[in-house]
Amino acid sequence: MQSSDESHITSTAHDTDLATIMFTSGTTGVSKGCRLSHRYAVRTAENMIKPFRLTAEDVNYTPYPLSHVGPAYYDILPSLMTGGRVVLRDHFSLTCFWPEVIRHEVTWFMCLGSVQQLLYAAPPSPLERQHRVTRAWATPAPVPKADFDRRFGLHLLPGGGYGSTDAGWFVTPQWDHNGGIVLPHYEVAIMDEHDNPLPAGKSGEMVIRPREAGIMAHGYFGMPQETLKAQRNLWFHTGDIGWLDADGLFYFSCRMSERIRVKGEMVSAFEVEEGVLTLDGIEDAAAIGIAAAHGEEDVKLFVTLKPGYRLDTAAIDAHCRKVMAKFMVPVEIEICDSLPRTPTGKVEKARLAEAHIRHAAGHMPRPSP
Amino acid sequence: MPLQITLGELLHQLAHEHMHRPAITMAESGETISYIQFERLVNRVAHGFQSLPRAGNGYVGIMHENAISYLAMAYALKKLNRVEVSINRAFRGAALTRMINLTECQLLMTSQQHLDALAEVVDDLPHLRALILTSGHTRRNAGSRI
Repeated sequence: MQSSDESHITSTAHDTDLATIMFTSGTTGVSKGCRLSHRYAVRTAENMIKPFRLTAEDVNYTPYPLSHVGPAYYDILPSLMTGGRVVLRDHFSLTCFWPEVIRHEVTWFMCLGSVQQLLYAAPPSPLERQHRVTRAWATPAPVPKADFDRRFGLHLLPGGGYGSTDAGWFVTPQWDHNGGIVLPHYEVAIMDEHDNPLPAGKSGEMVIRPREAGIMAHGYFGMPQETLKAQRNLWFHTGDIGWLDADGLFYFSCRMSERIRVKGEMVSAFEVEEGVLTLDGIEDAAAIGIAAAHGEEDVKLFVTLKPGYRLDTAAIDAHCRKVMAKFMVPVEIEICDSLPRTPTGKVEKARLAEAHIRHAAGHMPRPSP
Repeated sequence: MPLQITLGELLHQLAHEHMHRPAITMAESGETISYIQFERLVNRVAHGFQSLPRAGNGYVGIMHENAISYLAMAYALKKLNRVEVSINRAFRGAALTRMINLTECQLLMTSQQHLDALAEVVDDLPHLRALILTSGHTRRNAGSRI
């Protein structure tokens, strides 16, 4: 259906007009279509350039599906805006990663989903030091920065940044500091469960609103009730827990849905996973909350092992007891062949929870991806 | 000063600023397209879209593997002020049906490798009027209708 006409067509659109509907890849519930404007895309990409120090000499590597904001607006568009180059791959492949990064002279990449963990869990190879990559960013980033930097000879921007399909890119990471900078075209607050603002230093739900038109999703397509719910009290509710320090720098804690309530303590699934991943032989991990006998929740941990390693649950349990607060230690540990994942690499915890329930009922011995 | 520009105009400007510099490379094949080649491809696809009858809200779904042609379609729609609906290609069954039906898009751009998934749900897609298959190459697109 291509025409032979190569002339540019000047659009009648305004940059705040609807350009794209992208679906949020939530790990639970029905996907919602975020209504995104041209300005949403441009503002997101524009604010990648400074924190990542992008120039025309840079080459980005993106192996994530183009139906998501990550590759479209955090990788490709900022590269084009600086005159750089993008290396696009259909899906992430661990075996192709370093050979392709070397061949195409890649200088920066994002680790989305479990990519950081997978790179780190892979057996060492001389290739991982023969590349031109100077910086990377990971979300989430369970592998400690110092270890990651040392092994791969690059600079991982620490913590800090935050964006989502609904909200846009509103906290950018700093080059050498954990605290993220809230961008001036957003207003951010930390709320308690009743939407009362919390002071600096206190953790709560991160809520935001725009100071400029068109920079956040203009609601969910065809879902007015979901839109209103997310924007109650005139704040967009991110569903994520974090805190601001006295200087207004932002620190991410965990997804609200990733909080597990154990005997009155709030356990972050991420911190459990981070803890167990420090055990040699663990390849990947996912913690979920399961119903506890006493009415709250217990932590259940699913792990996969690196090839060639033989660990039993007793050894993993012993390690958890060493590196975690007592209330964080999983009451159940299951060793799996693999973990079920969404196309962007997030572990599908809802499926793990279902598998756990079936397992408890004696129908299904293993969560199969 | 933050930019206030549509994506179609932005691409046009960038293409003329960076001209023959490489813009996008496919990791596996090494196929590379320069800024100005990409702009011209986008324009050819945009004119192609314009030649099709526009029905309903004019939204266009894209369910496609990562490819230069995917990006070309996405930016072509931006030049035409038509809304791109990004359909997650990993979806199947009810979730795929919901994604396509929600926005009532009548035209879906896809490729051979997603036809089986679409065939499974096609009876439940009342708004969809046409599928266009891309060849996967940046030069030619093969069209077909359902």
